[in-house]
Formats: sequence, C-alpha cells, structure tokens
Amino acid sequence: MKILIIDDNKDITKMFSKYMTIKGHSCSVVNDGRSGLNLIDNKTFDVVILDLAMPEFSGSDVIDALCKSGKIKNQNIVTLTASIISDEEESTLKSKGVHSCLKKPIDPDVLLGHLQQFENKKTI
Amino acid sequence: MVEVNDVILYLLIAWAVIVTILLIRTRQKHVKDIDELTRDQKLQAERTDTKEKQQLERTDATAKQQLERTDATAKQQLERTDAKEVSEKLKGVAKDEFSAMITHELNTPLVPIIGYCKMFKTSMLGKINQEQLEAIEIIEKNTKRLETLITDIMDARKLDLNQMKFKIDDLSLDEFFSNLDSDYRKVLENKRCQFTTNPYAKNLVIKTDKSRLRQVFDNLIGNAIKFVPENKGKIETGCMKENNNLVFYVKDNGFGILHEKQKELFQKFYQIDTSERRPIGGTGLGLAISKGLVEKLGGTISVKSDGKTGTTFYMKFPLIATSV
Repeated sequence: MKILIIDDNKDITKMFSKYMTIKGHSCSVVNDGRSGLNLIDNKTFDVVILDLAMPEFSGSDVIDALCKSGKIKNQNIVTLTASIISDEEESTLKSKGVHSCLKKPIDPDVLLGHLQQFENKKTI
Repeated sequence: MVEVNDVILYLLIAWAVIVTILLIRTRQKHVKDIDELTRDQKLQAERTDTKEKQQLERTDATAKQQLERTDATAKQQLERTDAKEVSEKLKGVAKDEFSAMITHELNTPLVPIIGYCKMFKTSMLGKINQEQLEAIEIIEKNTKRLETLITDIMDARKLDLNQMKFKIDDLSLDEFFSNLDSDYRKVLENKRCQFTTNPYAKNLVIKTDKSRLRQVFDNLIGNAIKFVPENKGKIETGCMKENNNLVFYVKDNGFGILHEKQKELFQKFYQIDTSERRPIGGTGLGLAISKGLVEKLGGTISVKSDGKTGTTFYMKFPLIATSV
C-alpha cells in the first residue's frame, strides 16, 4: 500500500513510517500541509493520513485546496488529530470528501487495521 | 408748694409714661425688625431650599437618566452577548479554548510513545528479552493511565462547563447487560474474580445515552476490581424496578467504605486512603464524573457500605420506559 503521512510532528511521522515500512508498505512523509498538497497534486496514494492542526497550512487548508482542484475525489483521506472535533466538524469534513476521522493517540496497529480497507481498492 | 411738687410729680410720671411708651415701641419695632429679618432669612432659606431641591431633582433626574441609559446599554450588551453566544453555538464554534489546547498538547506526545512501545513489544526493532519486555509493559500501562487521565480531566471539565453532549437513544437493558457480561466476565474469571449480571428488570427499553451509562458502569466496575480481595473477588451488577424508578447497581465484596468517607467520595481527586492497603491507582475523577453523568442523565447516585464488607453503588432513574 502506498501511504502518505502529513504531520508537523516529526516524531510521529518517523514512528508511523517506520511501523508501516516494517509491515511492508511504502510510506512517504512530509511535515507541512503545503508540501503534502504538492505531493498529492503529482501522484495518487492509496491513502493519505492527514494531521489537521498544523501551523501555516493546516490539514483543513489541504482539504479545501483539494476540494477546489477537485482532486479530493481521487484521493482517500483519513484525518488524524489530537484535537477535539465536534460531530458537526466531522460531518463537514466527510461531506468535503474525507473518508474517516481518527483520533490521536492511536495504536499504530489499530491505524493500520483501519487502512487495510484501502489496499488494492482504488477510489471510483 | 404742694402744687409745684404735684406738677413736678405729674411731669415726671408723664415723662416716665412717654419713655415707657417709647421704650415699648422701640422694642416692638425691634421685635418686628427681628421678625422681618427672620422672615427674610426664612424666605431666603426657602428659596435656597427650593433651588437645592430643584438642583437635587435635576441631579436625580440626570442620575436616573444615566442609570436608565446604563441599564439599557447593559441590556443591549447582554442581548448582544446572548445573540453572539447563540450564533456561536449554532456555528458549533463555542469552544473551550483552554480544553482544546490542553487536549491537543497532552495527546500528541502519547502517539510516538504508544507506537514505539508497540514496536519494541512485538520485536519489530529487534528481539527483546524478558526484562525488557516487562519494562515496556510498565511504560505501556502508565501511558494508558495518562491517556485515561486526560480523557477524565476533559470529561470533568466538560461537565463543569455544561458542555458535555449526550446522545439519547433507545437502550435495551438485556443488550446492555449481555455486553457487560461478555466484556467483563471472562477477563475477571481469569483473575479469579466472579462477575455476575442480574437484570431483574428484563425486557425493558429505556431512553438514555448508552455510551455514557456504560462509562459510569466501567468506572464503578473498574473501582470494584481495585478493591475486591485477590483471588476471591465478587462483583455483581444489575438493575431492578423500585416504584416508578429504575435502579442500577454495582456491588462488590471489597473492604468497604467507612461512613464518614462516603460523603467525600464523589468529590474530584478524592482518593480513599490507601496507606495501610495495597497501592491502588486511579485518577480520583471517576466517581465525580460518574455522579455528573448520572445527574445529567436525570438520575441520582448513592453509595451503601458498612465500612467492612463490600460496597454497593446505586443509580436511580425515574422510569420513563416502554416495554418491548
């Protein structure tokens, strides 16, 4: 599975990419929203793990940009945040095209289990 | 001679009379003068009085107007604040900034800790020995405790600020207790602790927030597990109808809670003195949260214990239930 992790916390991206790589997946990592957006613009990943609270260009900004370009339709996105998000915020994100909203902290095994559904399954 | 003397006498008397009359007149005039003066003063005083009164009245009116204006402004401000609050709530942005920041900052560092523990434990970063495994398990256990503490602090704060959201739905008591049974019985039997569920009020469907009710049960059962004697613990949960109420209970055979400590039990960060007993961890928030949740769900929570053999927690809800 080709996974992209966008998170400003380098300890988190390092750990997740190590975990996913050992488990046999190809993992790309970026630590800011704009670089993440550039990567998604150039290629499609099986799934993108997107942190919401990032300085300057947040996860929500990434989603809005992908909505604008229409690329969100071809990209599976799972948000991962340590912040509290309300039911309303979650449904707004989902209505924009986000597949699911996960909460930090999360066991990497649980996260990977959740990502399995995107393996060999391209978005329509 | 007598005549001359008489004349002088008469003259003297006449003079005396004239002087007296004059004197009286002068006095009268003086009195009149004084009277007039007093009257003048009085008039002046009255005039001053009126003036002052008018001034006072004017000041009073101004103050009144000012007060009214302030009142109106305050009222408008309040109305504006009210409107703002409502609109913010409608937008779903009425957030507690402090909680939002603390939640984010406390949860973030847990992610790599949990992740690397998992990797060490499953030998993903190389084979580890028994001692290292034990160390990792201790880190994991304490990380879990931190995670619970963060959730508990946030729940307590949400309850305090009246920001806790509830999803009221139908809940089948049969289902609720069978879930409890499957989640706890086997796990506890492995620890030689007997776990039973007795839903006497079977076939009942109630309106409640099932995950919050379950949270209360998890708290109470979690506490009971800490206090029951090792290898011969007994925990019983159930519910029964009592007049127009539905009473849930969680009963254990632990060492009980002394009567004088029962009142403080539901206070935040209250911990039973464990000095003479085995160390018992916990956030000290579980019971305060449970009480808050039960009350928000329309019920009351109480505790019964003789202080020696076991404790029972009761949660009483007015019965607005429909039979299946």
